[in-house]
Amino acid sequence: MPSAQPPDELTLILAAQRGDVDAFNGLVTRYQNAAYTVAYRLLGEPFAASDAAQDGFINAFRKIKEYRGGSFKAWVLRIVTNIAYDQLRYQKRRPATGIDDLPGGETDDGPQIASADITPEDAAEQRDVQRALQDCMQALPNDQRVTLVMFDIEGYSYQEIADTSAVQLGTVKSRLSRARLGMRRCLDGKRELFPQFFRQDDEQTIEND
Amino acid sequence: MPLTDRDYDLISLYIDDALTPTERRAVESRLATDAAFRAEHEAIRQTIQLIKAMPEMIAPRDLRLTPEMAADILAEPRPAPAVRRATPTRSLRMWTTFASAAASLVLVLAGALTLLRPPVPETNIMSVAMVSDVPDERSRTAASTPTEKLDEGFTLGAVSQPAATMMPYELAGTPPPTGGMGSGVDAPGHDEQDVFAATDDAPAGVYMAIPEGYDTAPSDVSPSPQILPPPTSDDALAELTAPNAIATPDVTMDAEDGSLLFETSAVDPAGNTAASEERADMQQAAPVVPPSTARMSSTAVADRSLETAQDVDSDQLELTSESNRDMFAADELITAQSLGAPSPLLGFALVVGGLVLGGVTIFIWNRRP
Repeated sequence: MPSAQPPDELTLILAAQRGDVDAFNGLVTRYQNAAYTVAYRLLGEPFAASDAAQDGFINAFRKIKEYRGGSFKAWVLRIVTNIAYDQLRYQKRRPATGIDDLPGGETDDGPQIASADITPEDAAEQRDVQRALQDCMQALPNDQRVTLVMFDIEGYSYQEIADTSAVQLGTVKSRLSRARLGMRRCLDGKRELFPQFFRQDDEQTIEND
Repeated sequence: MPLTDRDYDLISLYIDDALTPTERRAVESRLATDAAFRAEHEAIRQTIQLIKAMPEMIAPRDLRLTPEMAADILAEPRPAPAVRRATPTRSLRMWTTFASAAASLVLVLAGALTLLRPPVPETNIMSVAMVSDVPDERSRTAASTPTEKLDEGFTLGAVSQPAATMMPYELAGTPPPTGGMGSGVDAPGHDEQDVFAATDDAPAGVYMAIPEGYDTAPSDVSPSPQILPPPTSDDALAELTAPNAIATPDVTMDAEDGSLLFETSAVDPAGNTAASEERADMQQAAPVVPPSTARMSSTAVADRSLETAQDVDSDQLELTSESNRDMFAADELITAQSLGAPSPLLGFALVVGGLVLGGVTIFIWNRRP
């Protein structure tokens, strides 16, 4: 007996717009990891990131009738991004994060990787690499980090970022360039974690010599 | 040489394919020749690859909504619709604002028209004698003691008046003199005290001497180009009113200001000469009536300041006549301003009032809910 096909996204959306919570939770199940990842990249803290993702879905259910089509994932991620961005600005005004809550602190176990089927050694290596990336990302100024995550991770365009951040298009380009350069210099100090990344650099150095 | 921020901007935009063709060619040319630039481009490109390759994470907890959370959300009051119908109050406010804006526009236009209105075409109904360069004391003397004043001769400035200024004359209740002549200072019924009263109390402006018995009705106006002294019992006056007192004006143009200069000389049979000059500003569109076409009704006295207020060139009509010393005197002084001449003050007041009302209207409109 063939298993029942899961309802498609549009069906779930239409049902959720009629107040069907189960249908909406079907959408949450599909995109909660993506929502949490974006929030974590922006906030760098698992609890704050999960709270931001949760608030994003609550807001999404509250505004589900305003959804007018397009990518539902992008629509939800935009809501989560706005919540995380607001939280960053709030933290900037009232910094209350303890030092142990910062990336790399004792209470931070690092991001959980969704992919499976890897050896424990590879998983440990991947964990170190991702932590290094996250640490470098977290070291960026908030505006640069948000721009970097929205463009290179979420796939927003320059103009969409400018509209969301309420800044000029040139400011977005500049922030993105500075963020990439900051990441490049930060990773340069962790080259032992990225042998493949710095291999070509070393080869070029040898060639130049 | 280390790369600049602009170099990294170009590298980032080049990777995103966001450069113009010209910039892109410049970057590619530099990549082919500049090893440091090429190395940084490669490092940035791989950094972006690492960032984009960051795996999706697993949410640490289930983010699905509980029935309680959903119930709370569904129980929230819905926001009011964005579009509201215009209530009667709002409609009234809108119409009030519209009416206020229209009123302010009308005020401004009326003020502008008042300020910019050209002079009303002058008529030959009457002329107003005005002393332009005579000091106040002299004017006061001429009005109060014309006999002494006229010993030295006297000066009359001929100023044509708009037709619209006739009414006050008629209201003065002056009976028409015979032959349209003005009455002299010794005319019956003349009260010299009135001259003082008018001189002291009247506002600034051109003062005109209106004789008793002078009829300002248009039908009684004679276009005769005579300088007509007021009728008196003096024989010399009768001679001046004779037809041979007709004066022929000479019109010349002033080389300095382009104004027309009317010169009129009239010689009465007694050998007395009446001369007048009038400058007509060519910038004024209204026709100018030479003083020869105006009738001198009586002596008029005006302050220097009053002349300035009327913005009239000094039009002087000098009548030198010992025999006429008793002929000209002011019977009554009436300001030209009171006769309906355009008032710049009124125009300014209208414009300012309109602008203020318009500003208030805009302020209220911007504060509407």
